[in-house]
Amino acid sequence: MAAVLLPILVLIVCAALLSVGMFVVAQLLGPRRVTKVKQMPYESGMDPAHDARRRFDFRFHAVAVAFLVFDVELLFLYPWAVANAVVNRDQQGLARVADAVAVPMWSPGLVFAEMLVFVGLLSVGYVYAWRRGVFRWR
Amino acid sequence: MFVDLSTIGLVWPEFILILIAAWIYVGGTLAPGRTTWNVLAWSTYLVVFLVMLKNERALWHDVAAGLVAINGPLIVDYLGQVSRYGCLLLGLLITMIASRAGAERLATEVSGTIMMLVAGLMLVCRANELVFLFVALELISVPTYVLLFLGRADRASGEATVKYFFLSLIASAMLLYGMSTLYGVADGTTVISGTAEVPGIRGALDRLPAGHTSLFLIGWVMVVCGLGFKIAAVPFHFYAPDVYEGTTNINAGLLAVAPKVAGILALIRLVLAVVPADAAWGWPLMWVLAMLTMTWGNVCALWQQNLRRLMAFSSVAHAGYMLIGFTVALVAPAAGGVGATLLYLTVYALAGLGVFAALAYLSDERHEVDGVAELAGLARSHPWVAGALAFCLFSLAGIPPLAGFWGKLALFTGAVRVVLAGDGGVSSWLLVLAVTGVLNAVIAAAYYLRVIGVMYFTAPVTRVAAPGGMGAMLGTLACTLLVLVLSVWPGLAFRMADAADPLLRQARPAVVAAWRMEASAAFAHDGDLAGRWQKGGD
Amino acid sequence: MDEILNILMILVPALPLAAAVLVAALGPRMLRARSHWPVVAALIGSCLASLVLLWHVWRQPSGYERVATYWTWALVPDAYAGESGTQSVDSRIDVPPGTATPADSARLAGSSPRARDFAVDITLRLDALTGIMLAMVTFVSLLVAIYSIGYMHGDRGYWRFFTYIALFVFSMTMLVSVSNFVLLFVFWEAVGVCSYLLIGFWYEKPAAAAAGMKAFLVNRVGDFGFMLGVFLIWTTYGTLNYHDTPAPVRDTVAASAAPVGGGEAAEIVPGVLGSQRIATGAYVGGGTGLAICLLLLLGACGKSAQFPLHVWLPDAMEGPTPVSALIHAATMVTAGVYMVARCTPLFTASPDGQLVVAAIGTFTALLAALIALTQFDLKRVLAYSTISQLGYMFLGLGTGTLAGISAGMFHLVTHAFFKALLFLGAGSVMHAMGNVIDMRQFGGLRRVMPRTFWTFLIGCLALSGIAPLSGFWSKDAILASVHARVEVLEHELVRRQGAAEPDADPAHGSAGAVELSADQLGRGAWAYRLMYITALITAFLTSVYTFRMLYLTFFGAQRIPAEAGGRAHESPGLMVWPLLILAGCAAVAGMVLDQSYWNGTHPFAALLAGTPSLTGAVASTEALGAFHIDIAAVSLLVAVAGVACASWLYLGDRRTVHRLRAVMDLEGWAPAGGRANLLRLAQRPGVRGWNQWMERMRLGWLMHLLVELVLLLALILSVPLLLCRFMSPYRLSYGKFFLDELYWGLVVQPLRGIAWLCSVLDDFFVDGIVNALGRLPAHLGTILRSTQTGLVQFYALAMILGGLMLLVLVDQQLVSRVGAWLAAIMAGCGAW
Repeated sequence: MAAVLLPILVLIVCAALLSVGMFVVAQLLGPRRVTKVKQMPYESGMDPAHDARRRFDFRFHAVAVAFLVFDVELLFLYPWAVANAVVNRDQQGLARVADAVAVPMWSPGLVFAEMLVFVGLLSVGYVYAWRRGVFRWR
Repeated sequence: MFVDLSTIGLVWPEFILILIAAWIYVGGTLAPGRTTWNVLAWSTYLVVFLVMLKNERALWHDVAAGLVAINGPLIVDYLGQVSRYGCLLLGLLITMIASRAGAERLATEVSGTIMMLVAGLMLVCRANELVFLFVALELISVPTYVLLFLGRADRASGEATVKYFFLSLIASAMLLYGMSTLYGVADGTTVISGTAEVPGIRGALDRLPAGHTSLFLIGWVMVVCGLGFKIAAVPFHFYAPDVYEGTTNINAGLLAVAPKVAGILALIRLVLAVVPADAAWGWPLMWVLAMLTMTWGNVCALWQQNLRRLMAFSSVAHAGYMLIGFTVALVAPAAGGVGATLLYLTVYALAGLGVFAALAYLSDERHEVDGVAELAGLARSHPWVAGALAFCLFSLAGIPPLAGFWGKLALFTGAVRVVLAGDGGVSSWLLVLAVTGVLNAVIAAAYYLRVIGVMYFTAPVTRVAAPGGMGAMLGTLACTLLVLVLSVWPGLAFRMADAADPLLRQARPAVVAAWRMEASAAFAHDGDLAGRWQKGGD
Repeated sequence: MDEILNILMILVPALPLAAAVLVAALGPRMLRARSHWPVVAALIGSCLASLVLLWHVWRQPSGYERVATYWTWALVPDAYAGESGTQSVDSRIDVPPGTATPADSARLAGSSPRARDFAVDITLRLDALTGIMLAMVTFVSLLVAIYSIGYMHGDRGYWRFFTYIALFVFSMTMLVSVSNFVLLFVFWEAVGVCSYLLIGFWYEKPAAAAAGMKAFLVNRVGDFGFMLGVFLIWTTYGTLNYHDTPAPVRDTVAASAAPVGGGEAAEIVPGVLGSQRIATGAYVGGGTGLAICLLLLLGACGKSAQFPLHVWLPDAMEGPTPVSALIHAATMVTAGVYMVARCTPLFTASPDGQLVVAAIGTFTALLAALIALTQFDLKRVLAYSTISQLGYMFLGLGTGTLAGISAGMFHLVTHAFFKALLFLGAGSVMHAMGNVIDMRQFGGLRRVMPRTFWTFLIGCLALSGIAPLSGFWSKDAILASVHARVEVLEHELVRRQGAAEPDADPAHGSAGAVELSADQLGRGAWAYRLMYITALITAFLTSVYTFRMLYLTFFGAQRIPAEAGGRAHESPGLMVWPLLILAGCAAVAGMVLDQSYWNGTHPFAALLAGTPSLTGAVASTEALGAFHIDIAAVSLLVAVAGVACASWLYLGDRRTVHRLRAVMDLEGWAPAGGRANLLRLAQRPGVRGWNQWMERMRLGWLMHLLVELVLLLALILSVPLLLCRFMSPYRLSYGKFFLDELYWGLVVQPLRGIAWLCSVLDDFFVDGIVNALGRLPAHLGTILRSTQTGLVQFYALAMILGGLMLLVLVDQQLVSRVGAWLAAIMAGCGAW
């Protein structure tokens, strides 16, 4: 049981270390010019308390969409990783299951290749967004 | 359903198109420029077309001989095969016409997006699985939004884009609801036309207890609604006039053709396939849709002064004509209704695209040709464009012996054939439909001829510039030439359309006079051919 | 070799078409006065190709035919639903016993139980008939095109002229090459259109425009019949192809599954004129057969200007003269003859139809010859002569024997040469005379235009049928075939009456393929004898009017009209050379193509007899090369008599002519009654004395009364005389038998009345209804357009509501079910 939970524990520790570490490093290395804007809750310059109909810079959307695309679509990798592991372990068994419930059955190599294509397309998208200047704040 | 490398092998052209499209996107950011990337796009279509032609010789032979094979989410048959090549051709034409579309900086986005759209169209041609079909349809919708946005930067264009976006979302939602309902009703299978081993939706429905029909009908009607939006059938057509009017001529042309092709193909694949042969509820729906759509479209087009609005209503009306074919097919599968629809779709796509190409040739970023009156005296200032435009409009109006006439003839003949075969109530309804269709053709002639009259018999008001560029000109001529070929050689088109009609193909081995087809007889074909392909048999 | 032949067969029509397109595209801007180059070049190529094809056919054994299908133009699957069995029982199919079983004939006659496609294939054929027509058409066209370079020089529509000419040659070569009745009709119309365009070539001239219209409209009548004939052929035979066609294989799956090249042979649809049908003789006779023949004949009458529909051809002379030579003498007007010859098997099945063909031909020949006697317009004389000679051709075809048909076709070819020659000669005269064509205005041109004169003379001799020239041989062949037909029929009749058993030994070979009743035999013998005599009379008239025309133009005192402007001269070389070549052909073609006088062979007839549809369909009455010295002598005698008569009348001072004309015009009848005569009578001495005596006796009033009575009587008596005078033979001939006026009164005016009535009804009644209906969609549109609010919310709502309505439509129980459900909830709420 402990052996099973160990990786999760390691993950938690790593996550904690990473976040704390980043905060510490930022505190240590970052310049420290306190301005009014920097004191706001959202450093992006948004005033959290304002009229609901206020205009909102489109560039936020662009960044948000880019973030969502990469973040959410990378989530896709988790179920794949699990499924792939299972397939690799018990190919025949899964084939039987697939036959029984009449769902698609995927050959492991193909699935891996597909995932590579997926990641490749994502990186193409990243290059595109980058070159188009999505990340350029001007 | 089994997906392996052979499935990938079947869709490699679509893969290549998507990869090249991605490359065009990225490359355009690295090395901006319009011409280079347009040439790359054209040559991609051409090379893919030619390589497909070379590689798929054996496949062509098999599907021409009547092969129907199911491979993964794909169905391989004559219809899919022919329409894929047609879609490639369409892509080439649209790219040509749109060779000057959009801002210079975003030029590559236009050609890349069109290529994505074409890949989506090609996937729809052979889709045989609900999710696959939906994704393919979205692969058409999403690029369309982008293209609408890329068209022009003004308020009208923005409004059109947003309208289309929202309404298209609603339609997609309806389609998806319908699909999920079908999935649920059909015992949890997503395959549309199944094989002997894995039953498709149709097979599952046949085994369904009688009480479940109500839920199934809800799903079916929702699917029809969702696809009805794609083909702009009344009452899902409301977006068309506003969006066409707001956007550019090129985008209007794209909207008039691409979603319609996808919608019709999806209707054939999904809607016709899941309706049981003896269902009495299928054809009244199509009948009502056809009547409403063609009458509404034609009647509203009568007094339009804006060219794109006029063409929007005309595109609605043409969707109505095509629905006649579906009505016929649902009443009598062997009457060739689907073949007639396919023929009509081909003619409509080419002639409609030709019209918009000519308009695009006369327009550019700064000034789009809007009003009918702007075409005054075009015959004198640009005789070739006026001639091509008039030719395409004549064809749309169905003036004999142009291609549009053959299409209408095929549709009305199908209906009349069923009437003559005669079984009481149904045939009189179809007679009403055919007569309404003919009357509508007469009404339609009025507004098409008005445009032609303005071009030929009115003194020019302002000088029409023609800044659209060579690409649009070539596109116009190519469309006109293709319509001309279909006009003088309708036999070929008739033959191919009939061969592509899946219902007719199923009915062929049986006696032609027996309209109703047994479900078990469907997809029966020679065992020898099936050796290489998985045998279908739903 | 096969490919070369296919290419050549395509080239013959394709070259002129290409030239037409080229000249039409480049003519007005670039080519202008050089527009003739592409056309002449194309015609040279076309002519060479035709000659090669003809040579190829010549080398092949008899019965050679080649059918090349290029593509399918139109296809309607399962268009012909043959009701199995019924048709073969109803219609009388004449099958020679022993050749085919009833089942076979039923299948061939088009009552196959299997439905057939209506397919129009673009198919070209090559056989002797087509080869001859192709060679003749392209050769004459080439010469005429060269001639036109000179004739049309400087015309405003120079390029237009050559475009039309090339288009015409394309249509005409296609007309004779196609192997399908639909395409025959298409190109039948196409040559009609070319003819219309060329007649109205000088459309500024009202007469030319009207003549073009007239030609087109009169031809419409014929085409109507032709079209009905084609429909009838379709319903009777179930195919419109001449040749046997393999039936398309329906079931593609089955086809690919079957081993290639093995297994059962594909079903053959026997063509209307195909070898299979001819071999079994499965042609429908009786009423249907006769109807087909008569309808086709009506079409032929329109195109070939035969009796009821001949009125357009003389007016067509308003077009440029080369056009008259090419289209209205040599080629297009022979399309009817070609069509009847092509459809020989159909006509063979109906002897009555053949008789009608011959009768119409003979009557037309006589009628046109009578009219030609008195015309003064040089080209109109030639036009009536063309009508008359076409009548001869129909007479030949109408005999229904191989000799007769080959004679008719032979006459077609020789006529093409000498009539084109005559027309071009007339054009040459016209060119020199400043477009004056009235023979009363010029004369004695022999010395002014010697070469034209000599070539014209050769043409006249050939047309009259003077011995060694071509016209003699062909006309003689027609007369001989008619005579032979009479003899065969009479012989058969005698044999029939002599024999106890009426049908002991059916001799199909003697009386044609169809067994004739005694009644038919008798009627036929009588009719053909009458036709023979009429044809001889016509031959006499032919040489009279031909030489009248020659003498009026080239002999007598030299007169040149003012329009010539003092520059009356021989035409340039480009115009004379074609004349010389045609004159050579007109002189020797007969002797070369018909060698019966010499070695008893007839190369032309032998070649033509190789046409499959002729050999199989017509049993030859006798050896083709037979030469009849008696008939030749009679016809030559008649022709010479005609020439002599014309010489007597028109050479010298021509007083005889005026006297003859006075006699024929019944001038002597005119002064019979009338007051002046009576008054002159009263001046006679005896009468005068008597009169004076009566005056003196105070009885003058009695005398006056008497005179008035006599005058009244004379007036009443003179009415028929006046009528006769009005309809005197001369006036009938000069007025073209008043057929135009008759048509005007009986057809045109009533139609105009009806048209007026229709237009009134249309304007006030129909238009009212239509306008009311027409406004309906517009009003509806106004209402429906108001739904385009532009609001996305509304659109979305409409979509959802529309979908719901469709759902209710599809599932009517849904409403009641939902209603019940809601009611249950309400009830539940209420209970709670």
